[in-house]
Amino acid sequence: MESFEKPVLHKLTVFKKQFYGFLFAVPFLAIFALFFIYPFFSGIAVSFTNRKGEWVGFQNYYNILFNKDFVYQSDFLRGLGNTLLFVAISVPLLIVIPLFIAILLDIKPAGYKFFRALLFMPTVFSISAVVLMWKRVLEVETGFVDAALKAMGMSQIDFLGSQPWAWISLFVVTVWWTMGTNIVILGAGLKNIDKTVYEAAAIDGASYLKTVFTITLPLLAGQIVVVLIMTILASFNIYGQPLLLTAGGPERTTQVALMVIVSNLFDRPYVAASMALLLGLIMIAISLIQAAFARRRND
Amino acid sequence: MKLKKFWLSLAAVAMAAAMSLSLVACGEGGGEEPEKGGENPGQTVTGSVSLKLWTPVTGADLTVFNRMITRFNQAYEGQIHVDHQSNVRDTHYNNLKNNIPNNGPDIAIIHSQLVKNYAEKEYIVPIDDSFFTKETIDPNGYQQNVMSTLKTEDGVLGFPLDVHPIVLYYNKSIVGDNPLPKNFTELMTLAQKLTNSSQGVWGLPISTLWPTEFTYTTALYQEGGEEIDTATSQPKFNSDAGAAAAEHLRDIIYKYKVSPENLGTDADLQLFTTGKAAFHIQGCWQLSSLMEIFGDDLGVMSLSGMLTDKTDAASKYVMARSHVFCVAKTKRALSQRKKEAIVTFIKWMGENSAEWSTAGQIPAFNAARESDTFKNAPYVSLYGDPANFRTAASATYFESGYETVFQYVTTIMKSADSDIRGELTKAEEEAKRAVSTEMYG
Repeated sequence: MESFEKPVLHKLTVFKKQFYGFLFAVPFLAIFALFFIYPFFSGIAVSFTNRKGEWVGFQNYYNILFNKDFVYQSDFLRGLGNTLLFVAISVPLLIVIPLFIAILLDIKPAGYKFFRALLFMPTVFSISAVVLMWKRVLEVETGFVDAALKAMGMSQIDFLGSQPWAWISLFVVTVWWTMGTNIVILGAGLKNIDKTVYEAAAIDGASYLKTVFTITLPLLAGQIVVVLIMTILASFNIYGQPLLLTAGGPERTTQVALMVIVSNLFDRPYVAASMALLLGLIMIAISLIQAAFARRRND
Repeated sequence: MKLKKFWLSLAAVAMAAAMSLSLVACGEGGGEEPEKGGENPGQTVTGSVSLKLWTPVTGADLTVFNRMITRFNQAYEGQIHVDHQSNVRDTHYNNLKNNIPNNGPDIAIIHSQLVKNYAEKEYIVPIDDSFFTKETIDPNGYQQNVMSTLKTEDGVLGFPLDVHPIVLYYNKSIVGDNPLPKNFTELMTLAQKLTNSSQGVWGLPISTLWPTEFTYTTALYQEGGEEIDTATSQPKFNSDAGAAAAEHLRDIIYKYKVSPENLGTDADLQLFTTGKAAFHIQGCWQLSSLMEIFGDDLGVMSLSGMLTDKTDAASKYVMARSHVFCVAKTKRALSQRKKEAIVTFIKWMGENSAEWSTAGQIPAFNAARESDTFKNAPYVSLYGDPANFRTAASATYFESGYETVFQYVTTIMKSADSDIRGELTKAEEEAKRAVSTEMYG
């Protein structure tokens, strides 16, 4: 009898011990389930329904991609195209410029700590503050640049209301605002490179530029991949800059996918959910491809 | 001891679960104050009826509006209490769509052009005879231009608080002794005279973005055009009148050169407030802040007949919007006491809306416009004849059928040689698809 009871008691003791651990996780699990798991699956379910809540299968996805009778079809495809354009141009800029600055800062020139803080500072600003500042710089007639152009006798440039200037403005603002994080990550990677490798290269007579391409960049590949994935995902989520700076204009050429999704959110949540899932699928696919490339490179 | 600790922990988990559930439940309730009696005749009625009011009133207007709410709550202390929540326009409407009928308000202010659409989508309910068991409100006591768009077979969809048109502000120190203009040509002539681009002073700076909605629509009305077909919500702006209206706005910038090109939202307002503009087209809701900036230098005049050279009756129209009190659909019980309280509140706000004119708004309640408070309110009598304030055509899909045009008007205003009819045709096609999307999408 005793030999039968002992394992049961032991199991109860183990359960009690595990239970205490589980207890600490309960508040997190409750919040996580309520605000992450439930909305995620609820969003997926909504994307398969219509305005009456009836099940319509993949009809919303078909409408978004192919049904030209509805405004949101062209809106979404245009928005997706604009988002891809933004990703294609902003991501290289957000890798190359921070990398260049991080390498310069790694040389530790005079006042490098001041410049490092200065370059990181915009990252902590909210997008509203950033846009307010840049509007004061770029706006026609009341902006600083416009006044400078006038003073030099040059003609006016509508930075926020004409192309390609609206896109250029968005890239400049985005790089200025977000490059700080990438500088910090790449800078940390540079610090971890063994300096003796550079010394050996110097003894072998390698130029500075050659050491950058043959030593720095290969040894920094891990950080660059991390920054690349983070930047691509962040760039796909572009929203605040075009919303507040150009309002999607001129002629909706800077209206990105998230703006289209939000514009449908309250009137057609089933369409917005389908669009969000489509965008999410694209982002997952790109991340998987990147991860596969990174794995192959490591192998 | 260990077992006791175990049960204590179990109790803690149960409490955590209960708290999580109560968190969820908080989102469902809406905090309805219990009402005693009212439903059953003969039962003693006690306690105050609590009304939740959501509005898009912000800025300087909010001070005056809150003052009116406070006065109402004082007048009906112990009987009715109005709990007011205001948000900027987009947030206000998103909140309504997101919260009705579960956690929405009892009363909401909705702009007149949206009321029919909100009724169609069942965000609001008609104010029918069942509301008027204690007090009545006569719809004929309100400005008919807007009231007529709110009537249905089941009653009325709401009662308007005000009409708010756009007006023509001017800087008296720049305009000086020059006679004020009476039509588009005179306005342009004077604006040209006052423009001194070398000193950065402009006659009539005009944004290509905002308030294009008001300026284009006013020009459209004055040219004799219409926004949409009220029965079908299909666009009607792609007409000779619509093209002439767009041409006038473009001419201000490129033909008469009294405005800089490509002005963004509020850049024209900024030029005006910094003394670099003689005239400025803006909503009457801006009056309070402009009075603070300019003092006695501020001039105000009606836009009636100012965006056309025509002289017919239509040329006097000025576009206006209206804040309308509507009853939100709710899952909570809409008791008879609450219905009566809603009527009492809406009626009181109408009867006391002369105070609203101190915020620069025109009361929609006719008697309020006859009061001394209204007549003595600064500038509002200069907005023009309220009979000429034309609110949006009454149609279920007004926004989809018409508002698409504004971005195309922006395109027209951005180039001296823009293809006006081409842009309006594109706008019309998109508007038709927008109506179709709203009906079937």
